[in-house]
Amino acid sequence: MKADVLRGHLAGLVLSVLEPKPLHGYGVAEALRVRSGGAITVPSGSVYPALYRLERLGLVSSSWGKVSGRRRRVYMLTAAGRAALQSERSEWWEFSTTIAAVLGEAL
Amino acid sequence: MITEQFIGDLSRTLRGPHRVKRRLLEEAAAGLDDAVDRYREAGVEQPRAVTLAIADFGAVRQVSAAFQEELDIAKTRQLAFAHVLAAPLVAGLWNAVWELNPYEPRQVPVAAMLIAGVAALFIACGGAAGVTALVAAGRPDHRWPLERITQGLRAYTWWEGGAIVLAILALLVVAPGAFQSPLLLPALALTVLAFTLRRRAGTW
Repeated sequence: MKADVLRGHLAGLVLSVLEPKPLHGYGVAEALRVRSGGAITVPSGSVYPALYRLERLGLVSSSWGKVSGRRRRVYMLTAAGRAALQSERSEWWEFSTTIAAVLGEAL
Repeated sequence: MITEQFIGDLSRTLRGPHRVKRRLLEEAAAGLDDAVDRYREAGVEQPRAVTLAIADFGAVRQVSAAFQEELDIAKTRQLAFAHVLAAPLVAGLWNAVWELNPYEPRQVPVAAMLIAGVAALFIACGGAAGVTALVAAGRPDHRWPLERITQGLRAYTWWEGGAIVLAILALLVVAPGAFQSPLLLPALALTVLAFTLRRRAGTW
């Protein structure tokens, strides 16, 4: 899936992969790739400004932790981030259902 | 190291507050190191692992816009915050200078009151512009062109500074006694400091 298609959804996708557990920057990029079965090939470099933005907006928080023996900033969802994720999911469900209804098989 | 060179190339394309830039680039560098490690653990040779990690990261021209957008927001917020902070400080101290003037309230020349009122209006508008810019840049779906906001705030700093200087000169003519306050020098010093900080904030 191309990066420009995903551009408007990166924040929601990042929030989604942080939902099960806190992750560091590269962990988020990896989780996006793994959870999409390799279909999401967004440049991992775009994940770092996205995480910074989400933290600025109070949707994630970060703290220092050890990942594979290295000191890394680890990100986790805040309550506002969980609420934003739910909202993103609802909007996506409504959007995809509507588009599927129009694009679906002709009767 | 090739990864350090890559981060250096990315750094050279970015303009903005040093603290935010450093934080973003440190994260990016750590992510590149992690990606190289992951490829090495999978049995890929070091030079190839570095090449693959950089390819996954994305070319500088591909990712720099996302980094720059965060820096632009930080730059605008910093400049807007300087405006918000300066307005009550400058207005408060000049108000104190005004209150300590030796005139009886009914003796204050009307022209002096008008001049002081115009200067106060400029200061208040500067603060209001700062609050507006701070709110606009903080919105998740901000659609205002940040570059124009920062240019507008910088231009307004000159207009406001000019208005204050003109007001002081005009008051010296119409009501020279108003400047006998012991707070005059601190007020002047703070005003110069506030405007210097405002000029420097958001300039990278």
